[in-house]
Amino acid sequence: MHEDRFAALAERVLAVRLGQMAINERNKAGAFRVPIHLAFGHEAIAVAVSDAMRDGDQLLLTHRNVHYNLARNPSLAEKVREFALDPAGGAGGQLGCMNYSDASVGIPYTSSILANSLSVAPGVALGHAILGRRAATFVVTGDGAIEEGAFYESLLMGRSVSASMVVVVENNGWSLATRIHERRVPIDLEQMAGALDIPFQRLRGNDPLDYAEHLAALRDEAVEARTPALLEVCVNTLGDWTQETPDHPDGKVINYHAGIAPTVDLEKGPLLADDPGDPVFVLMQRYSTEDLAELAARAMDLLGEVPA
Amino acid sequence: MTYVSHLNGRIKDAIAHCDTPVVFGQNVSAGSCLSGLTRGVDQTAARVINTPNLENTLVGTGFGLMLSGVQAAFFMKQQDFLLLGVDHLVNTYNLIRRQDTGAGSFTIVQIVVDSGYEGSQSALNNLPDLCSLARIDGYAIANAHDADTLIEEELFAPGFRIISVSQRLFKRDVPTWDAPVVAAGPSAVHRYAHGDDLTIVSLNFAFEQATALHHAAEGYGLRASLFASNSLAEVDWRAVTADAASTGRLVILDDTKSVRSPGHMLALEARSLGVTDVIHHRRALDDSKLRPQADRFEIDCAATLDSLGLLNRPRISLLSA
Repeated sequence: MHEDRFAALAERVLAVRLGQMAINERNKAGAFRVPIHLAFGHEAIAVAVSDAMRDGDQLLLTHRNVHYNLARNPSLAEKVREFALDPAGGAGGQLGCMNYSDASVGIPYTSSILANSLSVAPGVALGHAILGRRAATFVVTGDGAIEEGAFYESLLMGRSVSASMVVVVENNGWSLATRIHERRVPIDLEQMAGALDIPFQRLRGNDPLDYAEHLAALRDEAVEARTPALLEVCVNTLGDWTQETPDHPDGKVINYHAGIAPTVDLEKGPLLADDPGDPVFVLMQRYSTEDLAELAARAMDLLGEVPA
Repeated sequence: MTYVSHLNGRIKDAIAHCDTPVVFGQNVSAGSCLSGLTRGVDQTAARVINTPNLENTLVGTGFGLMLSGVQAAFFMKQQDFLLLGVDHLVNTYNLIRRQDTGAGSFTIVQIVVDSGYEGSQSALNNLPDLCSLARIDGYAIANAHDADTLIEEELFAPGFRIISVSQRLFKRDVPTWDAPVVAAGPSAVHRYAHGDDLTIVSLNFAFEQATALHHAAEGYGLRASLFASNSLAEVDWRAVTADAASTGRLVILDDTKSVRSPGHMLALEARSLGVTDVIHHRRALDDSKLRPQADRFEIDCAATLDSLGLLNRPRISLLSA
């Protein structure tokens, strides 16, 4: 049972990875005019959040949302068409990438504005409570957005109105091209949660089952106690490359933020880094090459037909 | 009855006719209950929430409530505070407005602090600017008729809008109009009186000044058409411009502090129809306005009529009668 559940999550992780790689290849080929924000390295948390969601739960996202959208609905064709602004896209070609949402799979709102979704989340959660629904509202943000006042405001609002929210902070250490230490002092989110007396979890390691179980427990606690809960997950955004510049003749490392990830190549397979910062590496520690290939094949089936 | 008591009664009426009303904001059922505006809402069927001071998140939360399908009204103590929520007025609304949110409703009811002596930081009176940011529907309640129609029709209606109320008027008798008031076009413009000599239009909270000018004109034996627009967004002015083309004179009374308001468009449209005598009374911004002062919107009625050449006309029968 445990193995089956892990395998199901692993299959989803691979689907999210391979789906993004396919989108990246199309982006390299110039298929999209809208800005594309990929999330290589963020697959395990996205799959875990999706797995933890129960009927009626909702998920509010940011500009970097493709991993959650693929986790909730792996249809790659819908994403590819949407990013091409095709009316047959998942949002009718009306939203593109940075605002991609799909209410039919529990994603009613995605904002490209830093921290904007955080303020909307207490309202969605409160609306559920008023309508008598025992549901949780998940909202995803990043270590850059927690610098905005809306982060504190939304936690305080959620706590004050007993809103069942799970706030997921994807901490990749970057905001655009600056690292945390280049722009601010450290923020101890556990202490912040303590100040507001809300549950807190910190996850690292990219084990999808471990993530899913912690998230499910946190979700249930948020619903039972009618409180926001805060989760910080450490992620490595993969897809870096080096660029030679006059100041860096040996190549300057460019962290991936948006657009094409030039060094990521679907032909080379899904692994992007040989360390636990890559969720696919974590799967490789558990499965043989053959078993992983079988999971990847099933993941491709999940992604479905992709338009030419 | 005072203006604020009248508003309070209409708000409670609207709550009584709403399925899932949510009323929230700072002090909505605590302290003075926003100087009486929301007094007693906690005795209604509404879910009432006294919130922390989180204006940005309160605006976002309102949109979240709308998204979930309930009817939410955020009562805001001061229009200035809405500046902290401008991101949501534009970026959140622009996403949510394209969705089918069913009966979901969000209204911001904001008090314009126009009572005077607040100083340079606490007297924002610029609803047209806020509406312009994302083509938001915005209304001002200047009299009993506005209150009766707007609160019933808009407070919990599907969609989003902003409604302004005037702190200056709170403790005064609610302005009323004895004659029938009729809609003049599709966008919240109402006709209060017919006349042949000039056309008067009130915007925002300038109804008091407009009626004063109307009465002054009557005192000189003149008959003025009187319109009031309680919409501060895009306005269909055709009924007004047709009337102004007939009278040949248009006076716009606009007490907002916006550089561009619907009054400017009205003036342009009227001139394009050949109405050459157009006076647009609006707020001046000089140093005296950037310190505590009375902040009144004052009109010299006689001078206005004189500048239109109306006081040189022979008195007509109305005055002598």
